[in-house]
Amino acid sequence: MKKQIITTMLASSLAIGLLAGCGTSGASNNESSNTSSTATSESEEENVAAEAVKVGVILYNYTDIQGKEIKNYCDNYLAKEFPVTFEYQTAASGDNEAHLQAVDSLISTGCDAIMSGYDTVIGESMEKCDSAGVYYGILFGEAKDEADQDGLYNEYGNWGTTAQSNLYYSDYFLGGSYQFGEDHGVALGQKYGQAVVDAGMKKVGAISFPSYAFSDGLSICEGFTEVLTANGVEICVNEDTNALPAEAGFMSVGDDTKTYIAKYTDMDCLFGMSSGMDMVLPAVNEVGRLWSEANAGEGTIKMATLGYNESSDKYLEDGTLLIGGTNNYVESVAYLFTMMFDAANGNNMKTDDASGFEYNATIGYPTFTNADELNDFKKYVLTTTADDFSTCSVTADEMKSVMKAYDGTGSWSDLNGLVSRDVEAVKGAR
Amino acid sequence: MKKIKEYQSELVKWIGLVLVTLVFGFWSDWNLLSAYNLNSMIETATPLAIACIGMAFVFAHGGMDISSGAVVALAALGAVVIMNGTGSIVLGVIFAMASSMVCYFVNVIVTNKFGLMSTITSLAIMFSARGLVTYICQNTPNESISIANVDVTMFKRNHIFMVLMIAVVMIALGIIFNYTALGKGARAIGDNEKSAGQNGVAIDQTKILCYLIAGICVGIAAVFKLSSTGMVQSSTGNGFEMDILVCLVLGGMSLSGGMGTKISSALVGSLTYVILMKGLTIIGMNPNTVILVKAIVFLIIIYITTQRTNLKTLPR
Repeated sequence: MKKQIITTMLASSLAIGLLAGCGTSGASNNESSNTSSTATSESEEENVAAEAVKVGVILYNYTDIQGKEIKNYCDNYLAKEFPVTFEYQTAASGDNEAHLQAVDSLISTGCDAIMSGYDTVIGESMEKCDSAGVYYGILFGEAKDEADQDGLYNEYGNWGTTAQSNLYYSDYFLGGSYQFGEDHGVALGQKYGQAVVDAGMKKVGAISFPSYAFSDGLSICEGFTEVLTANGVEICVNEDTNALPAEAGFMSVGDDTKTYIAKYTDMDCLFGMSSGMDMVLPAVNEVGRLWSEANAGEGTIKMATLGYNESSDKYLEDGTLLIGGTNNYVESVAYLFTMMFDAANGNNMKTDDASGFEYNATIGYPTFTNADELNDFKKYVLTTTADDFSTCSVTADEMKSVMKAYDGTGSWSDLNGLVSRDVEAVKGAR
Repeated sequence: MKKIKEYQSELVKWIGLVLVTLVFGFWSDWNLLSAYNLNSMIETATPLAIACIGMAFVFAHGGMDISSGAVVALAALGAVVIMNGTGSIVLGVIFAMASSMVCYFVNVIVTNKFGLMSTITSLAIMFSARGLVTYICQNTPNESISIANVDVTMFKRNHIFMVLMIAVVMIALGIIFNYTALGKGARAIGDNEKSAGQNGVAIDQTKILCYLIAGICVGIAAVFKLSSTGMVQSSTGNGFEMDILVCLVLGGMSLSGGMGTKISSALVGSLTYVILMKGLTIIGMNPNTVILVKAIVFLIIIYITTQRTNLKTLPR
């Protein structure tokens, strides 16, 4: 009996005991909390009555460039400039159950708003958020109006049943953003195509995630192919579709890349659209096909990539990387954060007819083709390399100029203008 | 006094549950018991408790199962296909239970016939079921199959229905477990299989029925899991088997089975587990640390339970 009592006591108290050692969600959260107090008092000095807000963030991980950038911007900048704390949850790529669990956990911890890197199971997520009075926004994807549908899951399985899809109009759904332009990436694809043509490439391929997960990939490829074809460049088609791109599974990008390039032994350039720098380029390199000085001229394939990582500098410098770029993480976060912070303080742009609210902002997609552009990219787009938030894409003062909680304009159009600037426009504003 | 002693172990479990609730309730400024969190805990606890109650029959006779997560995925897959094809939720539920029962039937037949450890057989079932679900899902356009035209609100938002389901399953299986030859036989096998056989317990038949009961419960749990996400994908039910194990040991169930096995352990364990996990989340524990806590709780309780079992076990 003694042991049984111990077992039961253990069940009830072990976690408590462990908490002392394991702590709560880490120093960063505590720092954020402390910072919030400081920020609140700073806000008081400014005679502004913004109330503290808790924002949840869901991403695939916080170790790649995207995760690091977002966490850095949130913890080391926003949390110091606004009375806000951030809670982070991770949900493995493609795991909808894990995503819904993350949404549930964030609501339970008292978040006022959640921004998610997922653009699937929106209907299910919104059901939870709407019932709990928590704002929800899609960090890296477009909000599509599928309300009043026939109750069937849509092509991409995002919104669910009729009742769920009607939550598109809920006050708590703050929408998403066009990550590749309002034309869904056609112009961006043309830009990539032109860079490849300018570099003198003759036989070019492209590989992307499945279209259900990355529908803009098709539009980007459309623009890309258009420029290549107009300039007489040969296309390494996907044999199933007789067009670009080849398709890569989420968990098999490397293998699918190798299979694809093996079919085209004379391919001289590959457009890596499925995590180009992290997954496609290493796969090309692994089979010795990557053109680089380090390869002693053995490889033949140069790269164009959607994506940036720490090795982009090296590959751009030696001519392996013709063009690279990435979503502007800061603009994406700043957009949702501004709306969420104001909404949690009683100024919901969605319900304010005068704000000009639309469901999607247009986020910039900065690219670089040479060292100067890369330097600007690092200075005005990235926050982890610049370590100077005063030059980042959207500053706190700019956000406050829109937030009603800080006597800003409360205009969604103004906010959209702030978060859709290209690098040159940001540079001009600094 | 004897009566009190008899119910003391039962009482201690429930006191533990209340204690966990009070501690985390207080710690979270009673946010633990907010309407949202209560509903959320009911949603999490329902499939878990139902599966655990069914699984108590397997553990009572000394069996072990680590395939329930994959079986949930397979049963959910079957259910969604049937629901979409027929528009009938009832047929979907029946098919989920049937497919789950088939998995557990194969499991127990292979175990009995070839004398394999039940863990090994369930491992094979796990890989087969998970592999099949992954293969099918990966060959669909969205790598998932969604519920298309059936309203499953009852299984995902009707909290009264959920509580009633737990109560009905608990009462029905509680009676079978405590007062029928099947329940008593299963526990007797857990104590000493040879002796139970010599005393008239039909070993193979009892084991088969226990696994089939577990199959029914896991099938029902699968419908709740399916309804909560609205779709099946290759990751559906991931980790469910481990959650069940933690719940059972947290409720004080001996993993070696026997007469000391209490079906109430399944209910108390799952409720305690859900409150513990929700409490840890609310007070802001890092999700990765929550997993670590889960593992530590599991290991320590297994150790203590094993010690206790060793003291009480009958000669084998």
